[in-house]
Amino acid sequence: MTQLPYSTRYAVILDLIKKLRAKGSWCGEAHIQKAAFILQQISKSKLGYKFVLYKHGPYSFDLRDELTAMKASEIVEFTFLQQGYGPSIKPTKFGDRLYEVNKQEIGRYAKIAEFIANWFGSKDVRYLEKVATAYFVSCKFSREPVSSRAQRLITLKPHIDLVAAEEAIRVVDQKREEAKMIDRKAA
Amino acid sequence: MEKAQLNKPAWRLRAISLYRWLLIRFLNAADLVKHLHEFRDPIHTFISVRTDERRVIDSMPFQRLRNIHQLALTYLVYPGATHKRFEHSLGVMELASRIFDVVTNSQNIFHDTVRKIVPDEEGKQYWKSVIRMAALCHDLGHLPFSHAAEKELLPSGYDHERLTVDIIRSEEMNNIWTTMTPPLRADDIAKLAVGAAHVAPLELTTWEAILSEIIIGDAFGADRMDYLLRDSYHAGVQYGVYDHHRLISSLRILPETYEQTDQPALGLEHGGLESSEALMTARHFIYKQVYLHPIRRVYDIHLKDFLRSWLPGKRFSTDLKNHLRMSDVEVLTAIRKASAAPNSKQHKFARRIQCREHYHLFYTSTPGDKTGGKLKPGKLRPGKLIGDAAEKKFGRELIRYDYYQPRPAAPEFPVRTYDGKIESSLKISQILQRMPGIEVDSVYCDKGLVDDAIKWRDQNKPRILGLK
Repeated sequence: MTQLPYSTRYAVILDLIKKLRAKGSWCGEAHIQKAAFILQQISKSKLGYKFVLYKHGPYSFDLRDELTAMKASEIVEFTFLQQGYGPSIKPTKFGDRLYEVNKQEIGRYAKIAEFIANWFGSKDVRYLEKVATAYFVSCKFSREPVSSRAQRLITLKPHIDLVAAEEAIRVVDQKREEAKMIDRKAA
Repeated sequence: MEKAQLNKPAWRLRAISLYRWLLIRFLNAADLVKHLHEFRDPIHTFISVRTDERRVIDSMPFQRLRNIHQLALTYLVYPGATHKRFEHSLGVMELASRIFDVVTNSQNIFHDTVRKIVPDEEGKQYWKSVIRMAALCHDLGHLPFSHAAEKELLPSGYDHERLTVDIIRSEEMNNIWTTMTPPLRADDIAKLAVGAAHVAPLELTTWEAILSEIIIGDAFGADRMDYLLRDSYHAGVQYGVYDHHRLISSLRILPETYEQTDQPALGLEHGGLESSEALMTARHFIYKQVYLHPIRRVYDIHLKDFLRSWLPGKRFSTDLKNHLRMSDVEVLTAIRKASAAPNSKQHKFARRIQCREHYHLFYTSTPGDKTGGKLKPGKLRPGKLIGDAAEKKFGRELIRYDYYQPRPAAPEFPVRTYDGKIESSLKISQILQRMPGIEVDSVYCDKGLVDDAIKWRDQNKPRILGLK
């Protein structure tokens, strides 16, 4: 599968950042990583980021490098608003211009980004770690029942308890169903 | 010798390993052998290894690193930079070992979430051996001339990390791991040597991820610490120098509470912050002055052109036997031969390297070239637009485009402040916060074309880039 051109990938990421922020997300790197993972899974997209289980769940080193390149090109900036928290990522004025020029390219991803922003916007990293890892496990072992996927989740993340893990798997199952509808409409 | 070693049947290799192991056991019991061996090193003075660790150093895959230049053809620009992956790997082992001792010292652990993941004394002994061997072996998969030609000349899905994993799991190396004291698991070594990004489908626990960070982490990986010091020393520049002793002594495992989680990660005491800032700035300057030096970069391009024409199937083999047979020596010999043989298919490519007939830089993008005028697709890499237009004007063979995507300039990590709180490094360090990324977006042309190319560039750049 050919990867989308970088200008379109940038536009998709900018769109995701804007929608997450509009829903009140802190929008640190962890938030963008988890949201982009779900976006890529739902849309079976050609974003082409390789995700592995790493920092707080699914993590893509390619996406990390892409965000760095976007920062170096002054498309996004890191801001520090509150004591005790990490940086928050937001588009610059140039990023906004770039988004406007390329936004017609992002097509179906826009609807999915909206769906993810509604889901993730107000959530903290602890929640995102739980559901994004549950999503990772559910994609990999989709035929397994809730209890066995929850077991897998707590093996990977021992600090999550079994009840919370089962709840996360159920949420993910429900969201995956909703996502299918959204993707069908968007396509 | 190498070929002979590779052709030995598996049972013979196993028998030899067993014999060596029994012999060492016997000699150890009789206290007849030296248990520690030392390498003199210009950076770390002495690097010590145990007898069973020396078997890894003596293995054929590791000895091959004596013939892989650490900085590819950089020595054509900085003549002193002829050092090899061999001594760098020893240095990484030494530093990783020191870092392991600091961060697992119980006096340096302050949080229950960290205590939970650090193993007991027996476990520590095992993991210290693993981290030392992973550090030693982290570069085994490098192709000739290290990174110079890796991306374009391996089949899709392959990189040097994947080859490293294959070598660590090979029968020859596994025979060493399983007869060490304590015996080591090849997968544990592989996970730490290349990290989560390259070892799928294996997954790393939090503890393993931290140990892997100790070796290859962006913030204070032993790999980075060693190459900055070593490359500066050999290149004869001062840019890569920083206080690594202070930095190592202030490393800690800390929970990332600023991310609203208790997940532990490799971090730093506040007192070591300046040393980490010095490391990041050292990295910034050495990248600009040495690694991304324009002539050094164009030699990489010429090397790729040569290899593409010289290698069977235009790619490096991923078969381990073939991979281990190939080093810089074989490639340099071929370059010399081709440069002296006008009828060789590789003659012109070889001459660009051997006779210093390298291409010259005639365009490198500026921030204004990206952001000025009308935005259009592809505008973020103006060099590509200029390069494509120059190819049309002067011919494809005479123009080369070079792009290097910036890497994280200053990664985020937890810092334990003087009052015991945990903060993000990017929050409390103005220097780390403002550290710029470095990007290369340049176009080169044949030496005989430089004046014309510059004139053409000045006349056509506004039109090509849509500048006002």
